Amino acid sequence: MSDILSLRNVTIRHRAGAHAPQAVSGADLRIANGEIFGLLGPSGCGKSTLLRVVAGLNRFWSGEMRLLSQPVKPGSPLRGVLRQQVQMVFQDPYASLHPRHTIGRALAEPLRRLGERHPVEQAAAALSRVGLLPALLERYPHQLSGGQRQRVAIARALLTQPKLLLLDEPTSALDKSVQAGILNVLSRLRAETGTTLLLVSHDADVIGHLCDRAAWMNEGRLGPALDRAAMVAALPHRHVAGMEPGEKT
Amino acid sequence: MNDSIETLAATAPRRADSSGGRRLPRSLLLGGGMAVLLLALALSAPWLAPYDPNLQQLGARLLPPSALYPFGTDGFGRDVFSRVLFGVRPTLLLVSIVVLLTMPFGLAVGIVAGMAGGWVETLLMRATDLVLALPKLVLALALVATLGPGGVKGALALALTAWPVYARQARAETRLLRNSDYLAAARMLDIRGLRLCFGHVLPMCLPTAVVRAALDLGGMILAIAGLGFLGLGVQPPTAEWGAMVADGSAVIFDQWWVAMAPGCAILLASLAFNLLGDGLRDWLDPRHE
Amino acid sequence: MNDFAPSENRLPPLLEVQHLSVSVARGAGWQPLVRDVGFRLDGGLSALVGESGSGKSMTARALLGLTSPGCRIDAATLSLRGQELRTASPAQWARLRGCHLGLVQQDPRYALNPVRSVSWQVEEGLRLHQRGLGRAERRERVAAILSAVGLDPVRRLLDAYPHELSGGMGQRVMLAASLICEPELLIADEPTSALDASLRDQILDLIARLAAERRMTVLVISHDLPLVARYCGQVLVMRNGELLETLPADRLAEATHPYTRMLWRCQPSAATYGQMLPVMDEGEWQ
Repeated sequence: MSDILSLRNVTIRHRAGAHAPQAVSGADLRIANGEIFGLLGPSGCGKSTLLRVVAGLNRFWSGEMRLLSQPVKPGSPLRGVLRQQVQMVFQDPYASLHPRHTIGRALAEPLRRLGERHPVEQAAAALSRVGLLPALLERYPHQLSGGQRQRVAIARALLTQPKLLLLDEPTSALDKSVQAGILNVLSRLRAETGTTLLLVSHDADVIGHLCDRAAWMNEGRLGPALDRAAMVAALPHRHVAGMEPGEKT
Repeated sequence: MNDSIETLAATAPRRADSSGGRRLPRSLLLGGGMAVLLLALALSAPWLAPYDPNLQQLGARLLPPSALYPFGTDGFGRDVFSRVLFGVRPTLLLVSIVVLLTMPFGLAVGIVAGMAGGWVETLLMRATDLVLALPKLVLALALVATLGPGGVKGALALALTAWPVYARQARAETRLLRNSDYLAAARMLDIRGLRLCFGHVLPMCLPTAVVRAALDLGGMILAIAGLGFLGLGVQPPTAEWGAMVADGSAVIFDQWWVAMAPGCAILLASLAFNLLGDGLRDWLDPRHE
Repeated sequence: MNDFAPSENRLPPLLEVQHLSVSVARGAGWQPLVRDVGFRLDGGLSALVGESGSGKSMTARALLGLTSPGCRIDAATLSLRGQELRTASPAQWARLRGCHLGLVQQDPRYALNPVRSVSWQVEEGLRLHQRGLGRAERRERVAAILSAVGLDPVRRLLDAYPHELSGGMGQRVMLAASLICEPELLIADEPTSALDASLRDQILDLIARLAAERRMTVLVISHDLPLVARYCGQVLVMRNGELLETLPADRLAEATHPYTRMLWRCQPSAATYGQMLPVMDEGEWQ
């Protein structure tokens, strides 16, 4: 089975210009269909930036990228089928839902864009797939808890039935007990649909719990991908990197 | 149960005996009440006014306020009270035209500029800056001088110069929102272009624009009255406050009521909309306690 | 109630709380946020654990007299070294908060003043509560406390603004600011939640070390039970405004209350690969 995602020598900057500072340099990555892959690194290492490039949200990159066996050119937005096949769950559940739209609108609008005939019923079905009751369709995001919001965000990302789901620290803003529920949703998702997950986190425990393979990232450099055994051996007990730069001055 | 303890505590009212929900600020109630009163007066002027505002009674010119004529009569023997009442109509009408034209146009320019970025943003913002730099009343005068005087023409002329503030404000807000996750999430679901701008960005820019509009109404009333004072707004014999003040200024020392009555009306109407705008801003701003 | 820390002297316990309730005005009546909480702190580190909305932060604010004006606090006992706090005036509270009670909060991005330099903020406690000190001595103490929290007190750090600091550095600066007046009781409200997982142990380690060095009592508030259990002697578990149970940290693995067991075992790790994690009743999602 061919790779869902392959990156070769990808360099990402924060803005246009050949001399703009690099957020990620020379990244190589291959992710197989159906696996859960983890990107582990401290804040500011560039892992979220890399994820946003794969999502098509950042166009200041160079190198080669193939998504579902199709080449993607730097700077060109994802369109059509490719746009549907890659979706993302953002880190902050308080910021990823539009504050003035009901949950129903947040889910029904993309369904209508896809041409679905019964968007409201489908929205209710999407909610129940992540363990939420249809009554939430009429609520606004500020009336939901953090865990509920994140489940809605996952439900929304799954509306287009993507082959690749990107997750940017999906549980770091949530309580530990709420995090457990979300991780269960993701485990069930992979078991039932075989969706490929690319998960970014600073938490070694979350990576160790969910991922089949992982790679470390630090200061813009992506390390080699490790299989399960190597990953578990390398997962240091609760520490990822050493002191932060600046603390030893 | 969706009210978490933290949100309940965070919205705990200042006084222990208040009702639980967000209280309407006093300025909103007062300003809103006055605005509604103005509207009611405009609608019911034909029934409330004791005389026809254009009825000239040359034998009763420049009479002081009395039981017969509550605000006295002007130089043509017309009842000032009736003219003030009927004067609400052109004022409200023209002010509404200005705001209803400027707000949507300014919002559209600002949002498109903020979302597009690059040369589109630069072009639109420089055009906005250009219009902003033009003096409102002078431009209105120039336009009216070319097109000829008239209430609606004057209002249009003012509208032409009043939209830049909405554009600048909307663009500033849009730039802040541009990188938010919920817009990125919408883009990932192929919601883009105009649909993104007006379905997702506009609801976030609307509250401040509405507040600004309410505040602008106060200033617009003065501007319309100013045009009327210069004889370039509503044409005689139609009752309009600014023109009435102009008429009264000739006799202001002896027959002060001819200018005073419409002058007070301008003051009160302006105040009403300023209070309304203040109150709306206080009420809509979630950070205001 | 058991004493978990040995009393070394005959003084009353540092903090004694009995039947504490916090309510907020709602409509015509009062809605309880915290109900009938009681505990005793006297040395060492204690943890107050619960999910968002459990009332743990509200309890902490009640201990510091920092609840919003619309909230009402009722308690049978709320005393600091025998001094009754229920009847303290605002001036007395201000003195207590500066000199005897310290607070460290969650996120340096929001808890530090964005327009003041690091040295200004760390020094502020001294300026307000220890008036007799000269400028030179204040500067010395600032440098000393910054070293104590693991930061090198160079010019570049002293003049830096909060947005120029990394998460871990910001957290250490907040600690320095709250410790400079040498409080006897430090309340740390989710001190590690905004930090990367790798830094959490470092900060808690630092707090534990400082508590031992300064003979300071610490109350750590958190949603992460396994994390704080490694550093704290006693653990208090709260849910929906109620204190469910109080137990020593080394007995957590055998806790009997289902909620405590869930909090203890919901931790993911490489060992739980492929398994479902324990959660409270999933039917509560409404």
